[in-house]
Amino acid sequence: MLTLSQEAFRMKKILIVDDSMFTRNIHKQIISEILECQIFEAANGEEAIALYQQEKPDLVLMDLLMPGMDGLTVTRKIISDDEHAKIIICSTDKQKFRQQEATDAGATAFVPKPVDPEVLQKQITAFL
Amino acid sequence: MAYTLKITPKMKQQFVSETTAHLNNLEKMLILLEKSPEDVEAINAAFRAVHGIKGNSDYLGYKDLNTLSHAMEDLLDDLRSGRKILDRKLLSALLAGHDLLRAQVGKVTDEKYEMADVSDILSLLQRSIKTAATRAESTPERGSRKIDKRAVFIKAAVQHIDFIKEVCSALTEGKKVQGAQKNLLRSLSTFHVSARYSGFTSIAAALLEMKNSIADLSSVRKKAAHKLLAEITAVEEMLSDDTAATAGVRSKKKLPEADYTDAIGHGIRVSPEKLENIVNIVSQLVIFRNGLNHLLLDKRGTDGKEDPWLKELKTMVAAMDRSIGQLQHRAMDMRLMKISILFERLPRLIRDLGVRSGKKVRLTLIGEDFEVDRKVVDHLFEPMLHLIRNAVDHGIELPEERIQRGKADEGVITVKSYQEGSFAIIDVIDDGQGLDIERIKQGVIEKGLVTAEALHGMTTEEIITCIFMPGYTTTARATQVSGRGVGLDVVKNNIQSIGGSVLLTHKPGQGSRFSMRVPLTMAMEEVLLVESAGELYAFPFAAVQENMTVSRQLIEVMHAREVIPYRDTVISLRHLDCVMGTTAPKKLRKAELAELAVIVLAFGGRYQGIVVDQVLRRESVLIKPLDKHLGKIRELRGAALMGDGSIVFIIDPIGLFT
Repeated sequence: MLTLSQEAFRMKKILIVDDSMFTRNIHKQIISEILECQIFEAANGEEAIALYQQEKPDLVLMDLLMPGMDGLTVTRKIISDDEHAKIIICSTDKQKFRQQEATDAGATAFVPKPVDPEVLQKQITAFL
Repeated sequence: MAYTLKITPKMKQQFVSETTAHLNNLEKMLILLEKSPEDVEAINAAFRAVHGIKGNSDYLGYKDLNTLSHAMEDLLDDLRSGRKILDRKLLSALLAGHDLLRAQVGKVTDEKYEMADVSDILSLLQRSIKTAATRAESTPERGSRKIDKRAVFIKAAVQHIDFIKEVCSALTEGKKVQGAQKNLLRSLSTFHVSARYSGFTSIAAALLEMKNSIADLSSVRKKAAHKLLAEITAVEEMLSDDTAATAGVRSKKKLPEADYTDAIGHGIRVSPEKLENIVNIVSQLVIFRNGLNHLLLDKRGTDGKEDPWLKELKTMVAAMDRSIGQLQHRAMDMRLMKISILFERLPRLIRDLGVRSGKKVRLTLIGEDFEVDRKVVDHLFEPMLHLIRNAVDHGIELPEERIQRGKADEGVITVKSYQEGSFAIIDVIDDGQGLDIERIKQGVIEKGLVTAEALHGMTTEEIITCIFMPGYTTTARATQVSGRGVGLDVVKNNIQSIGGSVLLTHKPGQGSRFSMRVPLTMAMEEVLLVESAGELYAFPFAAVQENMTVSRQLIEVMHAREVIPYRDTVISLRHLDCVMGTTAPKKLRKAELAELAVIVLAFGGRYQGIVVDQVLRRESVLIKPLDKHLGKIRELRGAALMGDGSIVFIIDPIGLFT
């Protein structure tokens, strides 16, 4: 008989961190296209950290350039609390060194902005 | 198959609202940079603004917005990294780019977006960046490196401060900390060296002293820890003062960023329409409440005794009453905006007006920042711009003229905002030439607004008010700055339409002051209900100075007007029923009444007494504007629906002044 764990039935949680509501909505749209999940939104680093601790999402989409705490700092903080955190950095900073920094900070992947919906969708399915 | 994004109208609105905030910020920074082109933080803030616009426009799919913001971001990146130095030409190009972006953003919500040709601006941007000076090769990116050094220090400093605080707090609580003294010494010493190296000399000195103070102790105990804690807090404050121009490393301590970043991400943006809906529903709720109160007002029990059920109902209604009152308050609160939002774009306006008119003009913003109804802000904006244009055009003289008159060549326009009771006042003050009475007289006669005879009998003050008449304008040629075929009458009408007033004062040769006085909030208003000749009327509560009963004997007749003593002066009386034409004037002398109910209205330092039959009660009502026929009656401001379904006219207090 086939048994499924409680875990498999639980709806996945995704946290979107971006200071622009417009961008968050775009990302939300891209995600909901492929996945039925619970989406949380944070407009800045502080909110992101608080929400992460509270909800323990399965995946985080993180912007880099935000007022206040920048995305890399937030990533480091989240990783230092939860080393299994999966964080995809989304940023317009296309330079290679940014990607390196993202990896060093513990990010799972780097998706350049503007996000190509298919690329983002592939990354999400790969890590969930 | 590639997935295409769906951009809903709501998302477009979000885009416009976010982009406008970015554009306001960008403009502010560019104006700042015009004065201090080396301001690194302003360049960074400008970059962040354009970066935000670009990021969003990537998704929107409007090519012109996207290409232009990309080009501007590249350019600002060159400035940010220190590769290029900002000059006037570059700044003008950026401003031009900003203008086009703003114009296009305004069209985003249009049914059919009209693409702009950005090629001219793009080549302008490219040309200007080419001619802009490059930083000397021998010291590449000197500016940014200097900043980096500071930034690195601040990051380290924050860690040191946190560490020292942690250890000291533990010690002051009497806890044992392993190797406290050794670790504190090490931290203080590294901190001190890097402060000295990074040029924070006063911090370095303070740290050295702290280090020395514990170096010779056998161990750091409570007392020393207390002292260290106080000292490190002082260092932290010094650091935040010193770095006021550098980016805030510590975002929870909102130090330097505050000036430059908009409130993006703080709170939620709600569309004005949604808010308006809520306010309307609440307003209706208040009216229902008033109706309910009215129904209960005369209800006693059948046989004089109070029915327990009725008593219960009254208690419930009273409780609901309070909640509705709070709800109403909160709903109105949500509509409030900072008055300073009006002034955000003024520096740019003044700059452009100065350039266009060939005059030197400086803007000073003074006064308080307080909250007003969003609608009030909407109604104030255009009139204020008009008055400012007017001041530059007609008030401020050309530099050579000013010097001849012994003034500084640069004119000053002061915009002052303050609160007076339940009114907001915005003054537009210039130090220009003031008003030319002779020219106004001439203009008035030429336009046929007032006859020469009538003009002869007018006081200077009355002549001045003529410039608010429709069709009045002094300059024969419409200037580019203020002449738009719109006169001051539009300013006046706009302000009056929200229950405000405009006052003009001037000193010949020294300048003039336009004072716009508008209520802080709209919609629900507190009124005082009165009865006169069997009709109900309402006075805006804010305008009522006092209501009192006056004995008949006190009434005197002066210049064919009834007056009564009031405070240390006399005020004239008007009978409301007579003003409203509900009673023939001769029936007014109510000799049989020993006392009269009088409402004293105050406006602009003047008082007016209004005789009514009875003062009823205070109530908050939703004031609706009157339609075009009744709307022309100067004594009436609007009408309100009362609890019992009847309609009551709201008196315009200004209209009652003789």
